[in-house]
Amino acid sequence: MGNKRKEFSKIYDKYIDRIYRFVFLKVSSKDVAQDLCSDAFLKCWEVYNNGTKIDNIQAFLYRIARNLVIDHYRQKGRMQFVSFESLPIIDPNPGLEEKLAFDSDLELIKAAIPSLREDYQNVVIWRYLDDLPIPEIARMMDKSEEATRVTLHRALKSLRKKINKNKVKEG
Amino acid sequence: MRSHLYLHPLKGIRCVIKSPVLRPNSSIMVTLTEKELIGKLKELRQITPRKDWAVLTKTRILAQEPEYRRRASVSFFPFLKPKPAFAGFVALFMVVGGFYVAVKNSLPGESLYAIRRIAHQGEAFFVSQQEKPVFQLKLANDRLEDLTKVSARNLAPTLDEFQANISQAAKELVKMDAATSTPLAIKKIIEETKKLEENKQKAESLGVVIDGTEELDNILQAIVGNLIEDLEQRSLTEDKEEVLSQMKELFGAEKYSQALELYLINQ
Repeated sequence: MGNKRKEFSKIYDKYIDRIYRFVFLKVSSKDVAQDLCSDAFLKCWEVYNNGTKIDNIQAFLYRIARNLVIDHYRQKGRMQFVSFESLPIIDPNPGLEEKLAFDSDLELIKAAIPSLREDYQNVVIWRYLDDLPIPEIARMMDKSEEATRVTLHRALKSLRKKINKNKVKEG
Repeated sequence: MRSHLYLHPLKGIRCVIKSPVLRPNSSIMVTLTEKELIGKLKELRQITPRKDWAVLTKTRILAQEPEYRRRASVSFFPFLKPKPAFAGFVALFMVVGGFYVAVKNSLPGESLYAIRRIAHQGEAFFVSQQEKPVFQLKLANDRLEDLTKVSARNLAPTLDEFQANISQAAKELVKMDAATSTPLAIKKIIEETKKLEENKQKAESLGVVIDGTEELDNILQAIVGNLIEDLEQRSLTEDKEEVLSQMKELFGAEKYSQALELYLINQ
C-alpha cells in the first residue's frame, strides 16, 4: 500500500501538468479543469491501487480525462454550445494572463481549440503541447501512424482556418 | 470584463468567474502560417495548474480509500455495520454479559461470590429430591477445582465453602435408599464421588490439606453397608453371589464408591 502510494505519487507528478492542460484546453475553465483533472487522477488511483495491470498509464490517464470531459459536456448539453466567438478566456495562471494580454493570437488559438473536432483537439495537444511522438499518438488514437499524420495535418489546417477567419472578422 | 457562470456537473453552481476579454489589435491582423501556429501552440505549454492546488489534490487523492474497499465494506457483512439505534442495546448486552462472566468466575472470598452463592441456592430449590445429593457433590467438586485457581487469601473461604457443600451432600445422601434408587441416580453419585477423590488428590498435591470428606465417606459407607445387607437377605444367583463377595472386599478396603459401581454394573 505504501509502495503503491509512492509509485502513484511519481505518476501524478509526471502527468499532472499534461492532464490539467489537456482538460483545460477542452473546457476553457480553470475550475472545471481542476475538478475533472482531480476526478481523473482519483479514478486512476482507484484502479491502480486495486492491483489492475495498466499497460500504458499515460494513455489510461488521457482516456479517463477524455471520458470525463465528454461526460461533462453531455450532462449539461454543452457540447453543441461551444462557440468559438463566445468562449471565455480564463487564465490558468497569472503569468499566462499577462502574456495573453499582449498576444491575442494565443487567446484566439486557445479559444479555437475547443471548437475543433475531438480527435483534432487531441492530436494537436498531444503533438505540439505534450510533444508526444507520432507512434505514441497513433497508439492512443488507435490509428496507423500514417492516418495519425493525416489527422494532424487536417487538424492544423482546420485550426488555422478558424483562427484566420476570426481574425479577419474581428479586424 | 465578462462573467462566466461555471456549473459543476455534480456539485452545482460553483462560482462566477470574471475574466478579461482581449480584443485583437490591428498589429496582428495578419493570417498565421502553419509554422507560426505551431510556434504559438508550443507557447501554450505554459498552461499549468497552480502548484498549491496540485499538491493539495495529490494529498487528497492518495488519502482516499479505494472504491473497491468501500464497496467491499458495504456488500459483505452489512449486519456488522454499526447502527446507532442499537448502540444502547449492544452496550447493555455487553455490560450484562460482562457482569455474568465476572459472577460466574468469582471465587469464595470475593465480593461477587455472594451473588454466585445466591444463584446456587436458587438452582438447588428447583432440583428434584433424588438429584439433590448429586447437585451438592457437583458444587463440592467446583470448590475443589477453585482451590487450584485461588490465591492464598481466598484459600480458607474456598475450603469452608467446600466443607459446607460436602456436609449438605451427606445430609441428602442419608435420605437416599440405594436399593430403591434408579441406576442413573446411583451412577451420577458414583461419577461425582470419583471426581471428588481425583480433585482432592490434585489439591493435596498442591499442598492443600482437605478436611471434611470423612462425613461423606461415612455416608457412603452406610449406603454400601445397607446395600450389602439388602443383598444378603435376598436369594441370589451364583453370579450375584460373586458380585456380593467382591463388594464386601471393597467395603472392607474402604473403597465405597467402587463397591457402589460394582453393584451398579451388575444390577
